[in-house]
Amino acid sequence: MRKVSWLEALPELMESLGQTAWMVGWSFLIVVALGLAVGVLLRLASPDGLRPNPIIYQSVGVVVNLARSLPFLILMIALISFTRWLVGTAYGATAAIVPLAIGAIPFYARVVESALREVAPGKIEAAQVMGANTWQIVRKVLLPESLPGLISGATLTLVTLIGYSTMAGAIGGGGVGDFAIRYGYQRFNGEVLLMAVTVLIIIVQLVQSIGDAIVNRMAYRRG
Amino acid sequence: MITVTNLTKVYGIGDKAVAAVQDVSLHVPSGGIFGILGRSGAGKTTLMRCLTALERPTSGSVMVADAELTSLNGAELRSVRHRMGMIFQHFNLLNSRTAAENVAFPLEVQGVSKPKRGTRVAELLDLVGLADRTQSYPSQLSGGQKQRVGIARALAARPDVLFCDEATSALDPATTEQILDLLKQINEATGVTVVLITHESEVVRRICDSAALMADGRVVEEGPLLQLLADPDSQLADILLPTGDPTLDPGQDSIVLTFAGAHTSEPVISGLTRHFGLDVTILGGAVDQIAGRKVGRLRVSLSHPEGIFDHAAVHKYLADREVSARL
Repeated sequence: MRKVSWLEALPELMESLGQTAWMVGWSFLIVVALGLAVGVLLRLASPDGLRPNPIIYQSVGVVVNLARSLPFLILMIALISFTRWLVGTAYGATAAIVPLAIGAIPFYARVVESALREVAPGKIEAAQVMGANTWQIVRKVLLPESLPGLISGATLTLVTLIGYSTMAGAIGGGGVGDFAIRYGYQRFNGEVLLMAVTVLIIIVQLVQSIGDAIVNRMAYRRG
Repeated sequence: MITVTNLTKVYGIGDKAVAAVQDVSLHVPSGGIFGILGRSGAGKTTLMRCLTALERPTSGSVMVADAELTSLNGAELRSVRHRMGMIFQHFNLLNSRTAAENVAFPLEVQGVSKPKRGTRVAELLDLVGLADRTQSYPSQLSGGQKQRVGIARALAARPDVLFCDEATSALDPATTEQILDLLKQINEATGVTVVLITHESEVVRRICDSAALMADGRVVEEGPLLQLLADPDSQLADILLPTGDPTLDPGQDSIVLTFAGAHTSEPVISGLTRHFGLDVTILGGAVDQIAGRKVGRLRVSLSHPEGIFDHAAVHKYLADREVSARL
């Protein structure tokens, strides 16, 4: 069999990148939304939170730690029947969104919890004395004050998701990971593999730089 | 405005229990500036946290504007708090908001419409002298300016009472004076009751009408400043107008004369010499403007060349001139 040149493989790589963008984009949105919700819940329910609740804090904490301690590959396999029930199939880019999101939500939730913990207690008490309720404190104090931390955490999560997504490729999720396995592992085509790796590095760098730029712009204003 | 009755706050349990505030009762009259003076660890912060319901007392009662704080549920407490303003040692402004947005915060919380908020915010930033910094972020402001934003924020919702938690302790002396004068001016203009806690006697001396002295979790003295100053035994008076250390003059029987009346300008000391033939030695003293009046405290020793004099007559002479002393 003739060795495929990187130029010939380029259209296929583009298609794979599209699949990666699809998986990572959707799972990122879901992770940010649910991770924020779970993170806020953990912060509020923690012993020094606004609504201390040991039962919620402990049980959510255990689930979060459990999910985080499972290697992603194992989590993905363990979730196959759940994914099939949810989206009708366990293969392909759309199906991969489910384990990607479930794998990263606990991670981002912990990031959110610790970012919220950084907000000075005095600011929260100031809002309390002004008669703010819990929801107002979350919306007007906790989230805006910790926004730089939430964004840098989201950047980290996005990079992690890109990494996870290549593993999803390994069990039929498509995307750049799948591409790299097919050319680099199954056909030993180093040239094409190098191209895939280069593109991945550029994407990760780009994501990280954009995230850092947003945080820095905020820090400049806020000091 | 505020009445505290037998308030006790204990932290920890069992052997580790520490009473931060013990059996404190005090009354803060409406419309004045009330200072709670004490060293760190005296319990004043805990007391203020109980006054703002950030802390639930172990026992006792706290009445603020006719509401018993200890018996309120969440919604009731929030509505009482809408009548409170508070400023802090470390300002506690939100870094994510501009000065104007920080001031708007309590109005947002209370559901005031955006146009009304805008008018009120502009009015307040003008009042505190920051009309030109409305769009600045806290990081771009100096400490004094931050505290001005804090004051504007605390006043935004037209509170009945303004709590100041060591509000000038993080500021330099000149800025401290400006902030204190601003508080005094606001108190006079709006009639808002001001309750401040501080470890700096200068704060009490400069703006308070009445005060409480705290030590070891208890209120040692409490009342209108002029009344306390007139008491020769008052510890607070000695903190506000110190007359020097009596042990530095061994062998001298010294007494403290307090001039708090309207006759401060009368030559009382030379009168003692003229009328009673007494030798008056001034050992120490201080004079200052307190609670709108010129008040002086002098530590003197009185002696007569013949070794004896009529204490009762001297006492009456001093009392007639509104000079209090214990002979």
